[in-house]
Amino acid sequence: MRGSVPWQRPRAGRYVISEWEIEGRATALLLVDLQIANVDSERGVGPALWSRYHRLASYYYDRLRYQALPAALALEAFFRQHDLPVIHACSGLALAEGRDLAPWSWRAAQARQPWSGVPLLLPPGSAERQIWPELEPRPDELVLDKQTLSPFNSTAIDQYLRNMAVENLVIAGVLSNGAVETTARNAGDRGFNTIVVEDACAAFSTEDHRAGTAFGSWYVVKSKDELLEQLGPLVA
Amino acid sequence: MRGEIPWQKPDWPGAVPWLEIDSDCLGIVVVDVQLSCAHPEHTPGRPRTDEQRELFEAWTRRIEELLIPNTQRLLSWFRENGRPVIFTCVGSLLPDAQDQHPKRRLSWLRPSPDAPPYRSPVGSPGYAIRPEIAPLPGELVIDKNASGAFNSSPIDFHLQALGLRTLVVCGVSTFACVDGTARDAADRGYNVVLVEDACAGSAGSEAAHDATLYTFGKYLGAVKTTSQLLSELDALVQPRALAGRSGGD
Repeated sequence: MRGSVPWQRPRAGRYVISEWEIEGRATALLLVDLQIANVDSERGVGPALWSRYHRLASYYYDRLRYQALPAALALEAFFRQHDLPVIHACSGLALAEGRDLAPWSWRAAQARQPWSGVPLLLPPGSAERQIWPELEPRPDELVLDKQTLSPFNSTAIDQYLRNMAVENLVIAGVLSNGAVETTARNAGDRGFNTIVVEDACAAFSTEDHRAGTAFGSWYVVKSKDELLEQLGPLVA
Repeated sequence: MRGEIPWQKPDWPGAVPWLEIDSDCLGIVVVDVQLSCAHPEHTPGRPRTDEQRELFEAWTRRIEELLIPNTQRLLSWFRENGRPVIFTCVGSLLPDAQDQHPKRRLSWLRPSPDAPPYRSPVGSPGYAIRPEIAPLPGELVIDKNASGAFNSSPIDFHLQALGLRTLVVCGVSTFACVDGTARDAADRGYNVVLVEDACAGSAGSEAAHDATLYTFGKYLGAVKTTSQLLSELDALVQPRALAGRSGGD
């Protein structure tokens, strides 16, 4: 069903779009990088964060456990309940030993990086690369493997979304100012009505989280409750 | 010539502290330094309150005292060293902005209360690049109709054809079009240096400008001042003038 949702907040001296009409059924949920390596405090980046950046690890894993992961699960349940698409975008190498990365690229340097001992892009088949089990991805849900922060830069997601008649993209996941923000900027710039659910996202600090969600370039930011309240009436 | 330059601070496990770059595969992208975006007398949205006026004057100073002179320094280096120079310009390709996505089209066509339409279509006077940093014949000027060049222009095709691997990016506005372009370049694997004192946001958007520099320097690429960058690049190459050759067609 079509209906208006609040869009941009007022800004002094600027023209803003204060509400925008959307078709509720043309909405998909995109969950970004909610993988074991990124959300399990004892695996993936966890040990390095705890040993070198203890305060950061404490903040990040608490935020995930008490805020972002429950909210992401609630969003997933809502979208499934209303038979709307859920898409999982996951980071990882395409080829073992990073042979898919250009050798001159900073990513290859990051992959070879010895100083932290933490590989960020995991090889195919790695157990920690798997989606966080509680999300239980289903066979009829797209799982897109990407080598970049945004799936728009290393998958055909744009094509899939248009084929699936998706006009509105709701985004949650990690990191708020990393993969989430980059994805939201791409989606918004390409004309999707893009909403980041900020309390279903997590970053390494409040400063990082704010950097990714306070400003919204061609996308808007809502809380989970706002999103469900505003989208709910339009998805019947 | 290849050499290592400082890259990112080791603030998190994925930081890359030093990176080897090849000056033979280096280019500069100057983003949207056009009259309608980056000239105090041509940009719309006249300040009405004292606070807005102060912010507008601060923005004007940044553009005239930092952005333009530093962009000129960067362009001189790239031209003297025969490296590709690329400009992007933001605007609608069609006069009624039909080529833009609906929200952007609405924002573009809708004038602010006491100013002309916010942005200018291709070919209009406001679309032109500021004359102080004008492209030379043979330098690539890429039209785009959204914030990020990789979403809305063939820039990637051109960068690959030019064999570029490391990009220096500057221009306006830091948070929207510069971030959009630099971020996607870095995400796609290019080694990207954002030149912080050759970038400007819009008036009153210092927090957003700072957020871009913060996030970019952490997760995507390097952030440097013009002086820092030029001294590192000079150490990498012998400056030479290549008569008759300029970057890209």
